[in-house]
Amino acid sequence: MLNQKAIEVLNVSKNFGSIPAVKDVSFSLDRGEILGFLGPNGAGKTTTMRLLAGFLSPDSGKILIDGINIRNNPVKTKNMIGYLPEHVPLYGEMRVSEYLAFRGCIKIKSKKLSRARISEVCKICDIEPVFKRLIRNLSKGYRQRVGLADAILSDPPVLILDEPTTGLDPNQLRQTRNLIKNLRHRHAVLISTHILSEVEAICDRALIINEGRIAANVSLDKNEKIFLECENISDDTLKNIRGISEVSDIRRVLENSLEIQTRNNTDSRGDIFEAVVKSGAKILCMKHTKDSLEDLFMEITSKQKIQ
Amino acid sequence: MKEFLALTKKELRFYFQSPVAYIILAAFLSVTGYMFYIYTGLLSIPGTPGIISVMRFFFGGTWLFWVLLLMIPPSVTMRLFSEEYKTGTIEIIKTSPLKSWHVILSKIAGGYIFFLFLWLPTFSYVLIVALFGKPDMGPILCSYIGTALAGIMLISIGVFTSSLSKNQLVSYMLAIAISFIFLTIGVMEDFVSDTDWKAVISFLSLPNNFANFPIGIIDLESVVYFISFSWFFILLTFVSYNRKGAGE
Repeated sequence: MLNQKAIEVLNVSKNFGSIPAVKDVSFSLDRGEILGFLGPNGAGKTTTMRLLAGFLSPDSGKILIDGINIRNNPVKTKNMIGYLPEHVPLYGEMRVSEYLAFRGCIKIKSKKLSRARISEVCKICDIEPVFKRLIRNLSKGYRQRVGLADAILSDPPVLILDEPTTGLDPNQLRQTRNLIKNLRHRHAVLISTHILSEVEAICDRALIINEGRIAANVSLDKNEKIFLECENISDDTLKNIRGISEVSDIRRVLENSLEIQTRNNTDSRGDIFEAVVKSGAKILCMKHTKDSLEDLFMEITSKQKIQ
Repeated sequence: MKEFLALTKKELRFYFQSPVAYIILAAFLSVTGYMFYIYTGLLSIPGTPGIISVMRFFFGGTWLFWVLLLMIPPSVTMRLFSEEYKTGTIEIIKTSPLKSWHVILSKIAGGYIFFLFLWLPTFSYVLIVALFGKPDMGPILCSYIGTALAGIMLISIGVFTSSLSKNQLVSYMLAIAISFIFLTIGVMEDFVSDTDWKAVISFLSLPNNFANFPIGIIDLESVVYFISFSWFFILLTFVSYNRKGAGE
């Protein structure tokens, strides 16, 4: 039976000595979803990811991968996870080709399939130019992509990528983001980063983790809003705008400004313009806006510091 | 099994690709070559039993052999786990679909195969002896078997200490310390009067258990000694590798 939840984390805690790193964390990740893991440095992102990947074991709580408890069947669950560790540790003495062959030998049953997958991931991650090079001589960007190639090598249903885009140049950054976006069709992806725009660009949902706890579980609404600034907003104005069938919600931001939510991202600015003018109000400004994750992030992480 | 072979191959690749391995090989050959040179030199002294005794001297005949067994295995094994902890590659290994025994036994196998490889050139000494005399091949063969058995025990000690620290020097010194106890505990026999204690010390002493091999006797008791201590240290490595928070 196919389990809908690719990852389920239930009340997991982890201490290092007397220092709590992760406190009572629970969340889940569905198939085909990209979940962004956000948090300031030292918030517990890497520890949580290491717990999921089976590198660390939790002090309490349960982690289920595709419904299977990691503790009960570590080999099987590790087989379902492609993991890219934070600093991408690799064997510097090996060539890229040797390393991937070695990893294929461990992760993939048949040798033939392994060879086919290696050439496939080399294309996907664009590491063909360095295929015969020693890993210790690679640049940060290439190391990162060799790590990514290793993570997706066996085509696992769950991908855990710890800061996959650090050290990449802008071109590689775009390629890697597109790559991760394309992965969503077949994999559940959990990525951690502290680049907020990256999360906005590729994730469906973001978890903000702070001081070892989940501070927010944000669904990243791709629906744009329309910001409208008018003189003389009257009840008529509001009524007329509500009368437009695509408009789903209106919120008054300030005395003379409104935020209008439309259904299915339709561009209703023309209709809104007519509705406002009909009510006798004067439009000063009208534009598309997005809720900023940055504002939310700052609000959560700085608020908790003050407490 | 496929995973075990892939990991063992990886370990062996590192031995033959790293300069450290060639330094170990060079040191080993210098010491054994020097040993062979002085033992053949002894032949010129009147009253020595002749060329057949050279290999008898070579294996455990003098303390030089024990120094070799004390120093060489830890230098072979010290990087096995320590390096993985230090560079962080243990994270790749521990998050791969591998069982602990795949990892630990592949380290033992890698180190042990390299240790045995070091002894290959010493066959040339046997060849030289055979060219100039008629040595009894039985005891020589038994000496090699004894060395191989002692080797697996000392390699297991080294792999265990390597799993304790991310610092190779610490792993090396710990392995030397533990091996030193097994190699020298026989000296204590003279200091205790109690016969039971004497028996215990004699049982624990590695040279005592090795003593019969160079005279051509394969003692089952000694074989059991080497194999069971090897397993003991392999089990300790299991505990150390799987301990909570390893690699943190």
